[in-house]
Amino acid sequence: MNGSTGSALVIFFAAVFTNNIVLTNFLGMCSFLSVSRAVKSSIGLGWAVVFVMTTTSGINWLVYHHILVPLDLVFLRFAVFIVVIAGFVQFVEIIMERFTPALYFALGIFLPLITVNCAVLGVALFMVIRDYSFLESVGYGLGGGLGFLVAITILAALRWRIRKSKVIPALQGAGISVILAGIMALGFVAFSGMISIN
Amino acid sequence: MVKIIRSVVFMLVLSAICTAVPAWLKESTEERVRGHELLKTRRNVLTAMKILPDGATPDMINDIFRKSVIVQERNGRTFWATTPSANTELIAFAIGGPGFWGPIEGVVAVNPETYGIVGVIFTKHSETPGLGGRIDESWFKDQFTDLLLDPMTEEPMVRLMAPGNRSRPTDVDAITGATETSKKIQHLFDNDVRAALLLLKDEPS
Amino acid sequence: MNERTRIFLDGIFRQNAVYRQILGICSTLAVTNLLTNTLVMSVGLTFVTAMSSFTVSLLRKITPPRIRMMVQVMIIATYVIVVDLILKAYLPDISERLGPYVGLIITNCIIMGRAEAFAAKYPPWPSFLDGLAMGLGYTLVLMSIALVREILGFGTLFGFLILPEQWTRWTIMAMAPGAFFMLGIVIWIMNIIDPPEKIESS
Repeated sequence: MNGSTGSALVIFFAAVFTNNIVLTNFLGMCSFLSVSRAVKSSIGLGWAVVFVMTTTSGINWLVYHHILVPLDLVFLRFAVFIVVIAGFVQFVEIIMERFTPALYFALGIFLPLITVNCAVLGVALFMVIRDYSFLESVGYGLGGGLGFLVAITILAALRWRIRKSKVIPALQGAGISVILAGIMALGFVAFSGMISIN
Repeated sequence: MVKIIRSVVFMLVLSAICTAVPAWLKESTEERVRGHELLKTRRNVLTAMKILPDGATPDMINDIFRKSVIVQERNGRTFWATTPSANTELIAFAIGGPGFWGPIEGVVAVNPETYGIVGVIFTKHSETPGLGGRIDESWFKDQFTDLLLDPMTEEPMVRLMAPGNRSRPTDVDAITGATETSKKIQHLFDNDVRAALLLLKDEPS
Repeated sequence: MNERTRIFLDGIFRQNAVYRQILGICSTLAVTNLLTNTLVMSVGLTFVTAMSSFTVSLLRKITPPRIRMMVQVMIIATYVIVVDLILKAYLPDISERLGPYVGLIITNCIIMGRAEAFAAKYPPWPSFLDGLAMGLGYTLVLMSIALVREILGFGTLFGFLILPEQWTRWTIMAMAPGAFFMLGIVIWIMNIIDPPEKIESS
């Protein structure tokens, strides 16, 4: 697979727009639907995801290619990846609590939430399947995180906008959020022809 | 202190079990998995060669393969050639190259005299379903049948054009809405397929 | 036994993981475009949920509290690896089609949710049943959605062609938006048939 910066950039843009990890690959749905209740928390979670996803993509790539593959332990990748993610998040929490307590309290509860965010693990698994290079993996992690941020912020904004609208009781809450997400997904499908490189 | 030691020991024991059980399971299924891989390769080769009847069972596949195909190597690359009992003279080889979303792999079967394509199949890709993923659809793959490939040409061996824009005999319709994937397929033919044909040219048998 | 049965049925319907608790959505949307994949995924998830809950519950008295989450994750991950290895050995085509989504069973909020909310506190057998109930509820919802999506999106049922070739496929059903809309419809219908106690405003 070509490992040039060019392809990493394409993968990056695709992860945000044409193959948005939330709206096309359905990763990260649980937090996507619950946290989008408020715009502020959505942005906070979004950035936290960007950070964790980008870093753990890189770390997991290294672990996969330099530890799992040479030692023929590839079948353990699920457990190893999730432990890396959980460990990294725990580590970040400790550092933040110690050195940036204000930021820690602002983001506080979101960090543990990210460990079980299927988007972070999903990105690691996809990058293995698609045989990305290190640069491409990090690009994918960054793009994925930003894609998540964009999607969740838009949904939060939409939910804020319709807060005064009369949504039928049966669809209030999760129902209408899912339908809104569907319309967003439709919109993002329109991005399909956008990316083109020579 | 004791608490920490207890936690560490617990985790270690748990990790040991959580590694041992899957490892054992993996060992015991290893042969089965390898059998599947082999069967898959054989099925792909026979499908590309178009000598696989519909609804063939694994036994039939292994049987037909053993009777009709021999494996050859040229410069480290595997080729599958038909035996005289197959009634057609074909050579097939695996192809692979970058797709848009991930590597694209497949098998191409050609007539060894004319380099005319007999069949193309894509065995692995990560393209978007409904868009780039349409490379799996019959209409797309059938377009390649009977195209005459020329590995010595300076031009692209095969061109994927927007539907309605075909001019040359080696032009095929690209997939609407999947420009990138279509481009990758064109590159795939131009690079990997060309390389395979050149190897064939150098060592015909 | 009546109480037990009631709790079990509750887990499948009243407290349904998907349309009530809104958990496990990622896989609900991702695999329901084809019935075969959905069935395998559902069985896999039910297995992992029931077994993980059972195991977590077995260990609940000796698990050091600080590492509780890590332990749960590890147990879940191991069962998922087991499922993955079994699929690769006995159902290779499906394993390939499900791809990374098998691994994503680990982060399926249903399993973690139940492990934490139920299995960590209750004895093994009820935990097993609870996990089983959650899995069955999940299965019912996903199979229903897949039924609609596969017929409309591909014209097939478990891969067998049902609708004639001439009928235009609703490709939207095979893609992301269709999944979202179907889920929305299921939530809608179930909220009408069996309204939850309180409805929150969006």
